[in-house]
Amino acid sequence: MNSFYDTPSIRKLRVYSLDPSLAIQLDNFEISTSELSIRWEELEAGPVGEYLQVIDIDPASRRLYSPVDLNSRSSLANNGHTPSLSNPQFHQQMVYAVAMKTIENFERILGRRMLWRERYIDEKGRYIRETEKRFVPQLRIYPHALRQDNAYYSPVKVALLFGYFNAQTNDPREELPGGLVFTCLSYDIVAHETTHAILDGINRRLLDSVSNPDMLAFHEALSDIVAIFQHFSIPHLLNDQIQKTRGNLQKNNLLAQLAAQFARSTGRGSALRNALGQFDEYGNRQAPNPKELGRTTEPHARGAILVAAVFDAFIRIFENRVRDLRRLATNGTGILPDGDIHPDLTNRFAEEATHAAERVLRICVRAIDYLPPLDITFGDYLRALITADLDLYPDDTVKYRIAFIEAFRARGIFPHDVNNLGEESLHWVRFKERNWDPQTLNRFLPPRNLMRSMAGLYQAEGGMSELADHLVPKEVEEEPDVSPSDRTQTNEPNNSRSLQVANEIFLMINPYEGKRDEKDADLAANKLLEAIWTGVGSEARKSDRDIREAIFINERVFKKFLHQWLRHRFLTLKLAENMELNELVHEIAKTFGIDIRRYLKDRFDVSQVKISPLFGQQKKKPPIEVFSLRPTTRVHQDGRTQTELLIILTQSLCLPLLDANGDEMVYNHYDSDEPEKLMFRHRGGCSLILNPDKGVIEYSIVKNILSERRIENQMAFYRKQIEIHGYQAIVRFGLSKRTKKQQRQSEALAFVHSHAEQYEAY
Amino acid sequence: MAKKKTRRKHVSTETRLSPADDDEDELKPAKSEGGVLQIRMYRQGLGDCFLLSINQKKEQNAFHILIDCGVHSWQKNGGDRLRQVMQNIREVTGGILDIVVGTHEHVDHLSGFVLKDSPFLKDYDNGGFEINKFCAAWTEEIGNDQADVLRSKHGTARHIIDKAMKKYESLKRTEVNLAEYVPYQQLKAVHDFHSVPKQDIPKNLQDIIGDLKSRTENKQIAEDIERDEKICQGIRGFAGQAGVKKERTEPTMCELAINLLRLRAKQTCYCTPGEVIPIMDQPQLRAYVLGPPTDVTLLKKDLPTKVRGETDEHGHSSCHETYLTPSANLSGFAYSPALGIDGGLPDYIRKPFDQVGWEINARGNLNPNSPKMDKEWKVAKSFLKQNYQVQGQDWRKIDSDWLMSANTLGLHLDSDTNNTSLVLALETGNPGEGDVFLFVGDAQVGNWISWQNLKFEVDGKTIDTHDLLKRTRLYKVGHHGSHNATVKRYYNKDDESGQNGTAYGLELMEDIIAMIPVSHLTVANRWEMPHKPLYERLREKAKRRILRSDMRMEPLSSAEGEDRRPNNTEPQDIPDESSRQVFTNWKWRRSTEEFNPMQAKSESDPLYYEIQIPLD
Repeated sequence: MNSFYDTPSIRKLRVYSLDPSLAIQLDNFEISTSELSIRWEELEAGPVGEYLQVIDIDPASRRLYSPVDLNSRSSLANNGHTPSLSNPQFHQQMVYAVAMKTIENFERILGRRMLWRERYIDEKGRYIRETEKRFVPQLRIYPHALRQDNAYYSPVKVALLFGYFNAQTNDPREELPGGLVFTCLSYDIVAHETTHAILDGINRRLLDSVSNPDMLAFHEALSDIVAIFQHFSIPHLLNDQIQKTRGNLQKNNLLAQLAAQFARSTGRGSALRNALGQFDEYGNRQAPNPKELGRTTEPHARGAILVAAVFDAFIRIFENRVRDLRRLATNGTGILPDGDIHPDLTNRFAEEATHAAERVLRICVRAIDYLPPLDITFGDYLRALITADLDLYPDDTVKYRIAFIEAFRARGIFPHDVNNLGEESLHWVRFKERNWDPQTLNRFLPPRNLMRSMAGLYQAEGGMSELADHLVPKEVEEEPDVSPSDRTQTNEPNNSRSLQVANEIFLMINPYEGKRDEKDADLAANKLLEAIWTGVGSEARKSDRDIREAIFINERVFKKFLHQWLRHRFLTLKLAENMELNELVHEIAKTFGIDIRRYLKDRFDVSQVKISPLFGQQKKKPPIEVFSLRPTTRVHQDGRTQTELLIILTQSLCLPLLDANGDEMVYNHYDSDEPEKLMFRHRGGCSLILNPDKGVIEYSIVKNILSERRIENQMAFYRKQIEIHGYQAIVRFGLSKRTKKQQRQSEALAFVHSHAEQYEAY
Repeated sequence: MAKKKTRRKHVSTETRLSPADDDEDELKPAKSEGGVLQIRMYRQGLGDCFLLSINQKKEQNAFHILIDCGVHSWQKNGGDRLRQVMQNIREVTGGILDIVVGTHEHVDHLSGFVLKDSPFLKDYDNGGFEINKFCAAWTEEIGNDQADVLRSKHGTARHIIDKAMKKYESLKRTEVNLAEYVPYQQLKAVHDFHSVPKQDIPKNLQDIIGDLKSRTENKQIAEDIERDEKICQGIRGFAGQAGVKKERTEPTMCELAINLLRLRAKQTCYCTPGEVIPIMDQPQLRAYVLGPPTDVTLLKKDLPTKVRGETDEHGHSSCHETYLTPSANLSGFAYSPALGIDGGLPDYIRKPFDQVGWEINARGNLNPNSPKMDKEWKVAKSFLKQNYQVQGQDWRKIDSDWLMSANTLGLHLDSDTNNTSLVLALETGNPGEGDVFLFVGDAQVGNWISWQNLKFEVDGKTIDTHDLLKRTRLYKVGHHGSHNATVKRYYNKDDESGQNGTAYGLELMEDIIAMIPVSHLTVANRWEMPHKPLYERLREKAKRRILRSDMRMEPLSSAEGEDRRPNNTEPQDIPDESSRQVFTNWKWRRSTEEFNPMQAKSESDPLYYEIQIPLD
């Protein structure tokens, strides 16, 4: 039973290649279905696995559909159920297969396991204590949740909800009028929603803390990009489309179209979104307009511009790769004769397209790790793309990066903080190229051996759950607007070994206990290292399924330790001889995006630090937060692998929202005559990319909390939103204390709450 | 005829001699030698009520037109305030209204007619009203096929919304307080456009209408109304499905108000765009009917055209089909077995999969009476228990998420009802020359666009909409100043730039007075009324002559100084710096009478604003 050959490595499952509408078109019947090879895992009926939990309940119809058992003999022999509209068990199989394929793509490219959004807010909008279970092992998928032309990712429920509806067309050539359309049977829609969930698991602040028009649009765009480039991994679909377009992918084709059946059956034309952009009446692609970005604010439409730019880069790369093939096939003219092209040429074209698409998808996804932690813009994304690719593929023979820069520029997407659009300028500044002595800055990091253990421990051992529970810092950092009563105060008396260890570590690193020597912190680091290797407070893994929970718990331990460590470092920071306090605070803010005055105020007169008047006179200075700490393994061009630690440090404070004249904005609630001052949360911070082997910071990608320009931009964004959407904007962006709970409960993606775009979601 | 005149005289004498009346002099013509047109905007809160009175110099009797009379159910003390308003109307008119206009079926326009203790419920002899003519939009005409279909569909939508609300309530979300649950509250907001607070509903309303029905000399109307009650219940014609279980639903307050007016008025007139209505014996006055459109796509259009995106042959972006098409997505929602209005429908319509799936009962468990309690049933049951009904995992349940569809329906129902607003442009003086007074109800974009090519023939002259808009002096701002009820520009398909569009609507008006019936305290937190950019433009266009019924002064950036409004109970000249001097001899004032204070009185709370316009 345990022999090498007995455990299968993949499970093949049949799905619709795009959506069920192809299966009733003579032209496309051949390509309408395909088989996906999914990484083998033990599955329960549902399917319920390590990452996903499919529950097919349909409350509107008051029905439960029996869960599919993919381990049944017939399933294993037939590669699952036959694609069918009328068999809900096939629907369950398809959402499972497509969502798993998408997760696999992300894990392969990012080199780590994907975790879903941590549940830190309960359904009443209150914070959940850290010692309680915040880990969400599986994303729930409800294939028949709604009777509506809608499908969405719910961050509140950590679930995907798919709807079904009657086609709203009167033209039977498009769809059967009134016939049922299932959004869970559209490959694109499932991949798109799954990507939302994955991205939210990587950084939930992209949805929770929207501060510019690009953020929601980026979420949409990345989801579309993943959905589109997965089309290229379906060989017979690709071959067929290459054949039909005669190798010219700029012609309107199925590969570039998103959710065609959904679009046709809701009267939106031939595709929900087309990565090729708009076509004129003669079927020619319209040239991109760089001004369009400036006047597009709706997230999907704005996202579509980014998608078009990426697809355009792909087309350029593909054209570059097949130019020689075309010349070979045409005696050097490069002009193909009329009629079908040779099947061999089709295959070669398809091969090139697959390569190019795979690489483009890699570039796009890998860039996620090189984004700043908050307030991201399309320009940041371009810089992240270039940096990520340049690092792993320094030798860019096919000129991928040039293609990207060119395509982005044509659509008006470029960062505002660079002098030119050359590769080196777009590349994030390396940490060692900064003004400061890198040695000084690297001193903020824990010792190398501890960092290496942090990076390594994720993969193998169990979670240090007991230790995690005891590591509750005295300073409550994470969400500063939580009242203390909502939180754990003390732990129950416990004399266990893990408590002792936890106490020892934190006694040693606590500057308020007189431990202000650098050596104390090093001792604490060693103590933690010892605890890691002796397994104090760890629970052995029971099964492979627990590995992600162990990662989650260990992240918590390391985040807390790093937080204490940094606090110690800042509290013991000495002023260099030729440096003034003002300079020090601003240098740190420029380098890490955070304001450390809180940690200096005991020893220095922080009032001499020059801060923008927009910050007002706040007595309490904001603490720092270690938002996430995750290791990743990357494979370089030459085959080397490299492990890196990705750390996100952030900080936030509440500021009054000012109008264009600089006066405080207020809002009149209907049940009170007293106007409420509007406030917003301003954040700053950095994404650190650490090399644990060398013990150095490679990059610090910063959004400076002290930047006056950022505050002004953010306020202008909120003002604009209030002007357009009024009260809805106040709720959506959490600008009023009284609506905070509503904001936390609301489904950010179900219904972008604008009157103008009621049919949001997918 | 003779009877009417005597009664009139009698009444007016009585009214004028009443010593208790502070506004004793107001019916006397102002200093002008000709007649005077008085327009009053009442200030009951969020809701419309306008009284137009014409005093001709030769005639002893004033001629009265009432446009709408309602208040939103959220308005604080709305019922009491409106009752005081109606009392004032009764006193001023002596109980005779020559024309009553009901623009559309929303309570903030109609609730007064059916409010508890409303004089409209009483006969003239008991302190009530006599109504000579009731004007409504063509969409209210019984027997007009298009109108019947429309009312039936609106009825269906209201029915579905009611059901969805009940469903929300029945789910008894233990974890979430319905008062804080946004989707439920959004739906309730739609529902409240058709309801009146309980304490303001008269108990014997149906009896009063029944009594009127039995007394009326016009048996045809009584029959029509009975037929209409069935039509308005909707569902019947829904998707043409035979055998749908009919359920008796209570008629809404608005339907009752319309029926009451139909029965009480001596004559009912359903207005179609393009008509010119002479105002009875007033040769110097006529009303042009602009909306609602008879084109279905325009009736559905509720939003300004987006600059990007597809446009149809009308040059506006294609609208989503909702319940106006039987096969629309909402039909699927409405047939949901859980909503409970699908009885009698075949299974292939009610359920996505014919014979597949296990029924779930009201408590969320698998129905134990399932025909085959075999192995598969047991698997499904234990699956449900282990995966969905897990303790501590209630937050991941989706029992009420599907009901969100009703909110989309609700938004559309609201807009569609607003778009059925009767839009009247009153003109004084000679046709094509005089001043125009524009009352748009709550008309939204589609309604506005539909007028743009209308042409009217009066006394051999052709008058078009652009001309009427240019001569507009008084504009009753649509839908309490919301963003999509005053059109500024028209975007044409052929317009290459697609940016600016053609000036239309408000942009064609010069030198106006803008009247905005609104209450910022009532709408705060829910809608932006008035919409700030529109409000700014209105101030520019009106040279700050803005009558806001909530008397609120907005500190706004681009306008210079505050709004201008009458601050005295004596008639004052209307400020007018323009070279055209269009407001010469026009006066405005605020009422002497004030609302009865509900709390300690802080500032003045006059009953109405009044504008006096000399008629030559």
